[in-house]
Amino acid sequence: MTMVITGNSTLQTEVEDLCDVNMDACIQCGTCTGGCSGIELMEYGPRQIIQLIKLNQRKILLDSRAIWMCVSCHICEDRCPAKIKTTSLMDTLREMACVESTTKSNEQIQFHKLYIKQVKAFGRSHESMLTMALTLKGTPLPPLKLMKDLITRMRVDIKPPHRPDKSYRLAIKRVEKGGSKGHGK
Amino acid sequence: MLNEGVLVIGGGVAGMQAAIDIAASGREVALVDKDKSLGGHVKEYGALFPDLTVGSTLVKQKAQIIKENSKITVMLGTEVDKLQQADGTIIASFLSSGNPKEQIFTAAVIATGFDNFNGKKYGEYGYGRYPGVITGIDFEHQEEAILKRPIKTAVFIKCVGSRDRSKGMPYCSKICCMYTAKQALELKKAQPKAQVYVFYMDIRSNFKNGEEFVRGAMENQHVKYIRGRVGKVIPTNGRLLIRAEDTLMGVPLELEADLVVLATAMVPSQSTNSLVSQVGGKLDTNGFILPIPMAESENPMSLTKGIFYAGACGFPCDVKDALNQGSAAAAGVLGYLQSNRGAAK
Repeated sequence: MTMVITGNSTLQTEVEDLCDVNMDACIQCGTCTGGCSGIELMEYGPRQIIQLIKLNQRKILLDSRAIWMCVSCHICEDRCPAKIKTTSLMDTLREMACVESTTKSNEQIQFHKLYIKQVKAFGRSHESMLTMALTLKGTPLPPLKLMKDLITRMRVDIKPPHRPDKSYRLAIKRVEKGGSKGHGK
Repeated sequence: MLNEGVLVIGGGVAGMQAAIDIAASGREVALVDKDKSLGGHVKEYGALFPDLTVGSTLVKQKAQIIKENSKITVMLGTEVDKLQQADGTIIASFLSSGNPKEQIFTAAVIATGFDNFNGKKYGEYGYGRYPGVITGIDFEHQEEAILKRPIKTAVFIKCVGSRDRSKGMPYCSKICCMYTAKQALELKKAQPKAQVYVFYMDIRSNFKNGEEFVRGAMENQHVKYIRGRVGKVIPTNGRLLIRAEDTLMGVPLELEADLVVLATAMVPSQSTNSLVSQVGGKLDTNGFILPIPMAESENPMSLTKGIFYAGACGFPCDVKDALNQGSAAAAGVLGYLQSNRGAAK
């Protein structure tokens, strides 16, 4: 697969404006990938994600699984010799992926949207309901044995969730109103 | 004709510096250059990294000092044909517009400099065939015209002739990383909207402030560095299609450019070979002067008895280093002459 770089690479400026990270400061040393806690689930390490931005590869980047596998543990950022705020960068990329229409069918986005919906409604995630919701959207159910184990060992609650009080709902409303796009600014 | 002076062969920056420092001690110096004017390669250079002193200004300043010093005789358009050692003196025969002439000296400094690698040896880059493909030296020579040309995308290719055992030289020419960064920076400053890419294998900016200089080009001017050696330049629709691999991503790359600049290697000068072998000096496998092992010589620039060298005839070096070596060779000459005089008494 040959990557074609077109004359106007706008992606880098766009991302830099949103998250205030200078992509050109990256020295491609790979310290981020070396320490990354989610790397086994990513097809591109943080270093390669920065390189993809520099090469203007919007579609590959925003369709990638890697940006969703980042758990914001800040190890990469903490160890980066170029002081790159990788975590803010990942947040920004996830937001961009949500906005881009081409990625609507992305199952990672679907999961995260359902998850956030639950947190907003109940104040925390409710695994059994999340599983149900995902199944309705077409994701296959987890294996029966695993489900049985999780339920009998009380890892997953099957009782209906608590409804949080009014102050929580008001707080969520406030966040939604003032919710800003981009990080670091 | 007897001349108790010192011969400096090569009027580039190293030779000029050596002549200035030797003459400062009150000795007669003959500065010989085959060119019509002093300054060697540097007289045609624009800004020099890292402090962006203009090359031609530096040469003018040195030439002015030489002009004002009556101890220095400048012999332009003159080539040293033969160089012989006899009884502690050095006999040189010159060729000046066909007229041979012989002169005796007490010591000599060889500063014959370097040549530029011929970019045409890389057929795949099309230098000399595709308009728009130039070398870094061409860039220096035609800088003003190039910076005025409308450029959407420019590509710099490093290590053209350097670090190549098949078509070029096996060594690293040392200065290309820096001058490429400098040229990319100048292009970006003149045309901020242009996309400037630099294809590199490694970035070797081992000079004072070198790393900061290159990082500045990347971070402040957004010159894009891509790790990988360009495989081919293909003329397409009046532009140049660059095919390479981004070795950091492991993917083949394609991009179109209007300007391709090849950072060609510094190769040994032809005249170094004949001069050095006449006085019993040795050349290394690449054709540069083989230095005497550090622990065996009194001066780092000494070649044989009474003969010293300086600058890029020893190995590719930057202008600052050439000046340093010129001074070091001058110190070697003065020390040699002083101890010789003591021995004569």
